[in-house]
Amino acid sequence: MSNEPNICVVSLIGKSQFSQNDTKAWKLNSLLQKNVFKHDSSLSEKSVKNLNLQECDQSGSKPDNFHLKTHLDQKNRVMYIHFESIYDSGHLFDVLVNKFDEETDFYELWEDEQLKYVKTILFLFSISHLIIISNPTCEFDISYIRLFRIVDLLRSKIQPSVVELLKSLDLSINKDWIYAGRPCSPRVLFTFENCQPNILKSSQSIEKLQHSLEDQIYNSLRKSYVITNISNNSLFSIPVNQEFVYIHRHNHQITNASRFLLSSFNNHSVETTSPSVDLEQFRKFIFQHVQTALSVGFNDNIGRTNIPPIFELTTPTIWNKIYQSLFEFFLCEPKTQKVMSIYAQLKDQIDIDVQFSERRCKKVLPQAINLYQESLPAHYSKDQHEQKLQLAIDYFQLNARGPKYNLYLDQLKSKCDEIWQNGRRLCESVSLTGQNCVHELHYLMNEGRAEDELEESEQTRTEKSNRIEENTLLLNQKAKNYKIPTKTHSSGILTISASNCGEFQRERKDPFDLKEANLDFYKEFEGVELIKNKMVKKYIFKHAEESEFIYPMIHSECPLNSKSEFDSWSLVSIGEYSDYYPSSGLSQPGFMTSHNFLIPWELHVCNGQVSSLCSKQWSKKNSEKSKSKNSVELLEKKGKTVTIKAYIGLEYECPLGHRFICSGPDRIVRLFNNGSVKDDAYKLLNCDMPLYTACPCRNTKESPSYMAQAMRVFIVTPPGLVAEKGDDKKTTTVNICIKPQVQPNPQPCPVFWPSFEDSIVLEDNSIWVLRLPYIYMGDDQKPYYRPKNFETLNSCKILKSMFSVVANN
Amino acid sequence: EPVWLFNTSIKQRLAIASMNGSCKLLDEHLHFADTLDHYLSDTNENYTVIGVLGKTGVGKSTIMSLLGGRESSVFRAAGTESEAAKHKTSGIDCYVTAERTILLDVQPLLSASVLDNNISQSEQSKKALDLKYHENNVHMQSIELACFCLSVCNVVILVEDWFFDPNLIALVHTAEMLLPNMAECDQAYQHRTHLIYCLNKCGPIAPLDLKMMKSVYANFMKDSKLQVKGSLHSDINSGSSACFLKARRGPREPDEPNFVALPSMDPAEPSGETGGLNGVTGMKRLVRALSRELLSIKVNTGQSGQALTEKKWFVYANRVWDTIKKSSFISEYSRLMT
Repeated sequence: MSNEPNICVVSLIGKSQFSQNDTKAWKLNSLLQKNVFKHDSSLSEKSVKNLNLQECDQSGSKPDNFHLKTHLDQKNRVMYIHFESIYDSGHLFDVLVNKFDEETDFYELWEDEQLKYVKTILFLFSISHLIIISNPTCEFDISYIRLFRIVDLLRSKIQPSVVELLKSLDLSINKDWIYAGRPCSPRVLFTFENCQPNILKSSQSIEKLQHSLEDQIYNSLRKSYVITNISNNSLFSIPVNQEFVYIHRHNHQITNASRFLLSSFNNHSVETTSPSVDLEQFRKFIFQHVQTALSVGFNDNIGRTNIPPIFELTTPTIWNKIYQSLFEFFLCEPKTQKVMSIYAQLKDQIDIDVQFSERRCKKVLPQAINLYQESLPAHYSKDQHEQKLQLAIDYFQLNARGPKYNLYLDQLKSKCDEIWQNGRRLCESVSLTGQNCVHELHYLMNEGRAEDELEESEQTRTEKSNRIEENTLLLNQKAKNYKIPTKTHSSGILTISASNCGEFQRERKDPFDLKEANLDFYKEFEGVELIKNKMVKKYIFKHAEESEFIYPMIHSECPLNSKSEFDSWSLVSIGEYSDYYPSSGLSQPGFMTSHNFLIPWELHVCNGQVSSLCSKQWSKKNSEKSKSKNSVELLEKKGKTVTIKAYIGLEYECPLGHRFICSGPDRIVRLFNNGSVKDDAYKLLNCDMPLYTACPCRNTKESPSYMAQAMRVFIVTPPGLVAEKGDDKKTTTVNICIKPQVQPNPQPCPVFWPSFEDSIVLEDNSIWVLRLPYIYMGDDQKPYYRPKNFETLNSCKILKSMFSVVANN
Repeated sequence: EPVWLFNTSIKQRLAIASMNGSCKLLDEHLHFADTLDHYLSDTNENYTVIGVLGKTGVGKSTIMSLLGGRESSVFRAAGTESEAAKHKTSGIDCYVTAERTILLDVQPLLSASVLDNNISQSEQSKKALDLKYHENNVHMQSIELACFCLSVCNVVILVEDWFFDPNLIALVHTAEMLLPNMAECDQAYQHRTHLIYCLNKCGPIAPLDLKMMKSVYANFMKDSKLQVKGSLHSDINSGSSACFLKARRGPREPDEPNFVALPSMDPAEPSGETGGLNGVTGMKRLVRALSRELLSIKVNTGQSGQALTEKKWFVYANRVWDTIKKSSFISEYSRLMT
């Protein structure tokens, strides 16, 4: 052991030209004059094993990614290390092709490889005397300058830890080595290849180029402070009086014939120097430096300086121990916090693209978020959210750059989403009249949940109503401090509506619920209705007793015996025939002046038959113009006829609570000067009536008029027992029947009716009020909104033949 | 009348001065030069701009000269001065062919020789440079030139004479990231830049290795928005001349990386016309095939962008260079370089 000779350590790094199944290690082989360094993975394993480096496996690093191979040339006392990196095609192929797939994040991979590369370079600079940097072309690669600077920065930061480590090893090496963290400032040599053929022709040209390169390298390294006058202070040194550049005279290319389709390719390059001569010269070039190292050591200080350069040699055994521990220190997982933070800083210096992108995106992100938030209302809809988000994304796209782009774009999206979700999200429930709820997203009273079952009820609630998409849950969990409030919906719109009977008016909130709209609102009047009206008789719509088909409202598309959940219609009687004064009309609130008169409907009873204005002949105009046979007959008949008078009218109600009676489509009841009603019941009996008509309350050109909706049908039934004029003095019972049928939208649209009864026979001698539904809703929970345009508005109608009359003897 | 129209287009073409040699688009101080404007048409919208990027002495000028349809006279190659390890092209040299192909021969990227020049220039002028380190300056200059090419060219050929320098390809990444925002310009010229990797001076490559190389290139450019695939009709498996570009009529392979391998110029047979030994096609023939390929690349001007006339392209290029020189992106990036 003690008579083991000291060795010189030579490392080969750099880039290498693609060459079949070979690496730049042929240079070391040529120095060894043996084919030791092979492109064979089993060999590298062997060399690792020889160095007892298996501990690395256990500590979790991947030694297979560190392509370091060593070989000791005992004869010449040289330890060779070959570093195969991503700058060598073999390793490059491995990393970028074999281990690469669609999911690979290129920048992450690249940063990782660079980090390993820098650490390995520093490792080699800490254990070698000579470093050969292989260049695949004849140009000095200036990217080394930055690399050296980064490695040097890392060296200065990490040196204390290296010193600690070397101390702890307790080896018989000089203290200088320990405190420097390296045996010497390694001497760096450069080799170049693939020289232009015309230069290779003369050795003079080669020498010229060699000197040009030396000048270039020396100059640029000096100017960038990579090398300094005092070699101890620099990452490495360059010999002052020896050549440090070698240009290969021969374009080395080992051709492995089996890999070719061309079996006998002939390299056309003019070989002025045979391969063996080149290798001989190369050996000479390297060995002069090795000899210096083994004899006097390097002194590459420039100018006069008193600081002697540190230069230490040691035996293979001791060197191997240092190699092992430093390998582990540099290339396995860092063991101390300090080293870890140093490596983190190193990351920033290595990949400027990532750092730039990070900064750029960080700067643009808040700007994009601001743009999103700019002039947003307190609560806004999904559409508005998406629109503004797109604006923010466009801005981000234009200003953010680089590998971190997607990461920050995702952040932008989720951040904006979070803002929206956390209290800015509009409820977006639509009222049954088609208005949006103006509140932020909220729970409804009956959906309220106890605080402690927050998570669970959230989920059930989410499933219950489809207003919230799946991702809401996730986002709500993210920002737990925001609680969705509980309140009722509101579109902020108030209208005035009258009660079932029409005697009372009250404000009505824009309804979001069918029962609220068609039943509950009216139910609240019940108490006062009973007090005010002499007699309130309520007609009970006859539904099938038991039915498996239950619908929100009954209409023409429901099966015959279906039932509605509740009555959306109401039919009440509010007085007797005599309680209606034809001279003053209805005395109910909200009616517009002189629009409160019902239309008289004469019923002619003759021979147990009843007739009314049901055919054209009865129209006043016609009866006056043409005195046909028929009319003569009728006149004859008239003598025997008893006429009784009923009063009917269709009431429209506008959102402001204005009410008026119509006698025909879009025809408001009119009066003669004497105060009697001008219109007859003909149109009311024979025409489809519009569901909506313009209210006369706002009839200006500037603003469109309010739309009034048909809400009530008044039928004042006369006493039904009629004593006929005939000889037999028989009596006939006359009853008015109604069959209300509403088609609330253009076709295709079902026709709504209160029940499946054939027609409702109204009790005589009463004032009947049929209140129509406020909202018409189909089975899909979608209400039939009032159409926006006028033409379709006309197809929303109350079908004709609502009124009829029957006589019983 | 088609005949009459044809005649005018011929006349218009004849009216444009034809070039005897290259002229500067960017001079040696990287200032935009006006000379080229004289040779450009103010009606022709049918032209292709091809730029070349690469390190010193990889054969940029030689390839561009061959693409120009001339012998090496169009762009001067570095070869003659290589003893001094000097570059030849400074700034950007430009040549417009009779087929209206605008060729841009760009000064070498990441060049030690340019670094050398910068050092000696700054020593003469004693002017402090913005950047602390000269080589960072060269690096930024290289990024600017690459940004310029990617902005104004339809096709950019990236030439290397060995496979392959990740630092150089990473520079293209950086340049793409720092591309100027020309959307703000009134004359938005939208086009997709085709990037073609050209491995020059290569020996024979086994098909398997060529496949690996193509994958390396494609994977390295995975996240790039540049057109790095499917621009060429190349076929790698066409018999014995396997490794080299072989033009073939047929549909373009959409996923085939834009990768071209060119052999070394045969000094023994400088004409490069004959197919070398064992069917290895001569350099010149290959470049001609490449030239046809490049001209058949569909030069799209984007949805909104109208085609620019040659002269308008020139104005656009000038604006791009101004924008790059003032780019806040680039200055922000340069401050991050240690």
